[in-house]
Amino acid sequence: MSKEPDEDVDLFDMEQFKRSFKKILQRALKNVTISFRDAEENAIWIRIAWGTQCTKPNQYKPTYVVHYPQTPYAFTSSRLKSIMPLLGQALTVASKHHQIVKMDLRSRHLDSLKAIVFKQYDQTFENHNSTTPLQERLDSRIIHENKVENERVQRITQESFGDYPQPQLEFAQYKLETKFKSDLNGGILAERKEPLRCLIKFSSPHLLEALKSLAPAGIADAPLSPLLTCIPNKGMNYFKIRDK
Amino acid sequence: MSVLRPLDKLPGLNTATVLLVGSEDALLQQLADSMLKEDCASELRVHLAKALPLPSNVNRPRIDLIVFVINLHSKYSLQHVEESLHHVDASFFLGRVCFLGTGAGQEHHCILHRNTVLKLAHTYRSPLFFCDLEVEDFRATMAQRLVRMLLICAGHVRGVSALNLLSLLRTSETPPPEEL
Repeated sequence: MSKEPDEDVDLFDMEQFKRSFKKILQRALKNVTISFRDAEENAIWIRIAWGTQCTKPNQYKPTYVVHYPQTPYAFTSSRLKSIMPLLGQALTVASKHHQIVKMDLRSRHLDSLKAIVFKQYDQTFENHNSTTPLQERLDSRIIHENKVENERVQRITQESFGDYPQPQLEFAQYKLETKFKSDLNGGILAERKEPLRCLIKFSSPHLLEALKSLAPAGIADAPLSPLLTCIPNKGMNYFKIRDK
Repeated sequence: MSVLRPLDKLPGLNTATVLLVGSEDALLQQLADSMLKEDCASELRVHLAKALPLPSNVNRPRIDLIVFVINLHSKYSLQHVEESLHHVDASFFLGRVCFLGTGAGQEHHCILHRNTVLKLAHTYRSPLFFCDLEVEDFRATMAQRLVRMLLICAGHVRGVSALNLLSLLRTSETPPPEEL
């Protein structure tokens, strides 16, 4: 989630944030357990167990929130629609912001989310063991005819993805609501006036590295579609695509 | 449009050259390594290409055999091969071309049907082999067969020519794919 910061952000007061956050949630829901932990220097970890008016808080399904006070960002672990507005409100008010906006970015790896959102993913690490592509083999009896083409592909891949290790995401999802386009003239689907709804989901243990290796492996043309390469840049991996 | 023609150059002394065409470089490289491991009296050379036409400014030896590698997991590889076939002269298909389909062992990853590749090979009247190039033992066996084919196509085996081999391979062919 992200927030639009207001004009002057006062110096962050940890205790005041905790009190305010707790107060807001407890006023709205009597049965809720909140605990805080200052695990890292610049982060506050919040654990919330939700209950209802009649039931005690369910400790087995807590929500975790990580907030970096210096930044207008918070990361939550739950997608329960019912508690989102309340949680959002509590965070906004406690951290003295105006509003909160949900980002279309989800992953199991907090570090990767942080890297994307704080734009820290393009830092190359100290050891400059640049991995040379596997082309150069000592056997002179093997000749690669398409050296120029291979180099072009490597260059384009490097321009789109960079030299650095990619942040780790598991999914990319594209919800299409576009009119059906077809090369063949006619056909039932081509004549529909309404947009065709279609969901495309890419999944992988390490999606961005997989996309990066598509063109060099010869499985796809380079350059890849900008819809795929814009994921770290735009900080989104859930897209809705409509006709303009 | 440059077209590959067989026999348009003089052969090198005791050399045999094969051209592997396929979109996945790693597979071609592995196959090339396996082929070069084989012991044979002639000098072998392997050229790897993603697609045809080949760059024209290079001095290359006469190509004796072309192997088109199609990965059944990738429509992209079939596309590349189909486009490359247009750049091969018709006389190459008299025994100097063969098709190799890989990945048939992993059925759940296969996007292309076996019949698609069968039809393609039948259209071009050329032999088709299926082999999972990722498995080392299968690859080694396939490499042996290809080296043997290459030597015949290069004329290094007495009494057998590429055309002979083609007709020998064809008699054991299953009925044409229309009936399948």
